[in-house]
Amino acid sequence: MTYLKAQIKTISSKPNLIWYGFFLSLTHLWTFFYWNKNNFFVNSQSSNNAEPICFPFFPDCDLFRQQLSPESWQMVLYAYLITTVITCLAWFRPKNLTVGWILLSFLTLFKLALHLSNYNFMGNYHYMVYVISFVFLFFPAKEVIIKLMIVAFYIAAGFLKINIDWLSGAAMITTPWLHGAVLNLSLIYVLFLELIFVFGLIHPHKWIRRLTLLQFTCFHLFSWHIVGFYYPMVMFSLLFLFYYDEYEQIKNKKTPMTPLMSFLKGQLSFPVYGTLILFIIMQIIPFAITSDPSLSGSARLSSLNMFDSKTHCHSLLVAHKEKSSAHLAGPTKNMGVRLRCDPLVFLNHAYQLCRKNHLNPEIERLSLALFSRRVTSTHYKKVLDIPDVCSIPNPLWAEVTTL
Amino acid sequence: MKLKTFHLLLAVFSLIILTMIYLNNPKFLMYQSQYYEIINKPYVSDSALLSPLKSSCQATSQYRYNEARTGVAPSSAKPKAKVKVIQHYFPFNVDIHGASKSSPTVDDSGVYLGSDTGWFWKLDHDGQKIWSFYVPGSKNGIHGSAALDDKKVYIATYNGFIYALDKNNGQLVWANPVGQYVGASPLLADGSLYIAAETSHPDGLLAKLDCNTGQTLWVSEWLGGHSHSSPSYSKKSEALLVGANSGRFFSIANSDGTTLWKEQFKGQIKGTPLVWDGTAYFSSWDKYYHAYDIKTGKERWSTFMGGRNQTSLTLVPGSKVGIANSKVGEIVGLNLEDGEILWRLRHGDRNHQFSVLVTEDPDRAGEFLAWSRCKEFQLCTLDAKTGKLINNIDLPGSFTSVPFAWKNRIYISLDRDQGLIILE
Repeated sequence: MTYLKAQIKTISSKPNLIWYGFFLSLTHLWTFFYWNKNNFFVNSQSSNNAEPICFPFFPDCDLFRQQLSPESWQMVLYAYLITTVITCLAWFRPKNLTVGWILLSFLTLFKLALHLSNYNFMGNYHYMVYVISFVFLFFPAKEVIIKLMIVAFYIAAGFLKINIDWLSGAAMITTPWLHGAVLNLSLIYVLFLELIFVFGLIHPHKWIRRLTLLQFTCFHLFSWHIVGFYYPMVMFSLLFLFYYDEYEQIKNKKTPMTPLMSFLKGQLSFPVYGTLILFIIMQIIPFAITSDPSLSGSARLSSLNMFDSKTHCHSLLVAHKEKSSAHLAGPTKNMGVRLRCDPLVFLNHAYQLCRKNHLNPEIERLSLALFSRRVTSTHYKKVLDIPDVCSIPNPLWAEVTTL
Repeated sequence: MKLKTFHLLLAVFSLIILTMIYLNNPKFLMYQSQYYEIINKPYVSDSALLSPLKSSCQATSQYRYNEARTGVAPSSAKPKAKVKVIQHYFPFNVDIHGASKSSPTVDDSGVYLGSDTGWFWKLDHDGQKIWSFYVPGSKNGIHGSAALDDKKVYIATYNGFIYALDKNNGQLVWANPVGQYVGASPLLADGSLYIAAETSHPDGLLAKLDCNTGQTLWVSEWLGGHSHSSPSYSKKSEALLVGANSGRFFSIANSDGTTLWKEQFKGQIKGTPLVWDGTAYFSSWDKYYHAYDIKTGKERWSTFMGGRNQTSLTLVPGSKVGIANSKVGEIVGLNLEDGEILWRLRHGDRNHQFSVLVTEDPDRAGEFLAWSRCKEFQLCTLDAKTGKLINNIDLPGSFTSVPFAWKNRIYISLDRDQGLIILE
């Protein structure tokens, strides 16, 4: 409890952190708009409208979701909105920031609970907000870790982009305004921005910092027409600490905290390095357990889930009976580009059938194979090959456990 | 570490990034404008081996009977010229598509046939169901015919997969998603399995597979269009012959899948080539029948057929006659040496999808019978060498598949919901 009180005290003592608490709360407002758009949240939660896809650690999430009607899920979403608005307002009571801190903690955990009830909600934008929110709420050395983590996010995302999918433009979800050689040069520039120039965000020289911040701002503004409003708004919110510090320097001549040199000299505290090392390990895990993380599902749960490639796939779900067998259709509901070839979607589909087929003794076993490739690749890799899905207690982990 | 040192390290890192960018996209390829160059060869897929079953990989029966796709039934199949319907099995095609239907394939183990509903059956020789297999994910079901060896049946379907099933019980042995769609029939030749598959843009490929594991051994270059044409094999030239909707005709090396030669025509090539005496014979929507030397790729002759054509030429053994159907409503006997039209039998049926079956005549030693659709609901029997009409029989439905002869019977898969008929 003392530790938590110390966290609130730290935040209360620094205007930039108080404002950051407000902007982190604001990310939930963006989430509300994102989830509410086209009824995405309610449709995803309602079993009639969505493929029942769950995270592996909550394989029967659809049963949980069925407890509420679509109308009730809409009410849940509105409750989330109301809590978000109250949380945002709470940061404007500097005398008692405990309320803001508690509400933001609650909001983060509440969103995480909703998130974990449906794999359809997966996305990079949530991952980064969770990480930064937990650091902000519970970690020491908040400013330093947050700034370094944001730099680390960009670097990790940059590494995932060093491939023909990104460099050729094949990974674009929609056709951008730029095209031809200009587009390709822009895509190369983004790589340099995320892998090299990004250090400018924590550079001691103010013009380098500001120029870098301006570039990231333009980058996210430009990406708006490709990825929609949500991603840029989340990133602007996360970058707020950098904006605020530059504003303070211009207005009050206050030198911002720039951790680059102390980081390089090893002068930062253990939690800073520990957090970064943990983050790096989490990004490496998918590469350690699968040959191509962009074709995987559960193998990359620990890492940033960049939309690094469009994929094509074929599934082979076979119901084996004594005198007939059938290659069954895969998931039929509309899947987003990110999910349509995700092994977890197919494992969930098979798991659903396993549950239903307990009533059908004719089916001797259900086998599942999934062949996937990046759109720029000529090789359909067999990413799943499970001879008897229903014999596995929780087949949603099968991608990892059957390696 | 000093700031200058860090900047120096960043400069080195930049060079590494530049190198990685170059290595990942050395030609500065752009997805929108140079799609073909990024994916410069067809896809290769892993296969899923579900229940291993080793077989000989030597065909006991397949579409048009053999690797040369002659359309001539083996000498053990000798139905009499005057047959009648003895069985009429359950309905299965529902005419989801207008293309020719899957033809039955028969050997001593039974009758194997697919339908446009996605169901595939093994029946006994009297038409009773032994087992079934279902394929989803396609509105067109199964167009192609099965290939059989001693233990397995191979079937390719419009969901892009080729499957190997255990002949005995229908259990799936392996499956390979060779393309996005497959309308052609697989070919068993030289101990391997071949299939022409269709893909989205860019389009069309020929793949060679290991028939026991389903692993892809090679894929050809892009064929440039859907390949409805089932491949044929020339043992002498060790070449696969296949056409495509792009109007290209390919001769492809059996050893590694490289193109030996290709020729562009003005019409789509959908029919299965006949291989005979070092020559590939094939039809085209350019309204001609073509004959090309398999070794050199040189044209031997082209004969104008009056209308676009997608049938296959059927050989009459012991003669130099090939029989074809044409869109102008006639069956034609062609001289295989020079393309001269030797005889015509006008029947008025302008459907150009069905090919002719040739069997030995049990009543006339050394003579052959030709079986063909004459009118929409009629099967006629001709003297294969002269084209003289011997018999015709009314059927309960029309057909676009090829009749299949086994022993003294003819099996025909009818269109729409008319089912399978057995004639004897």
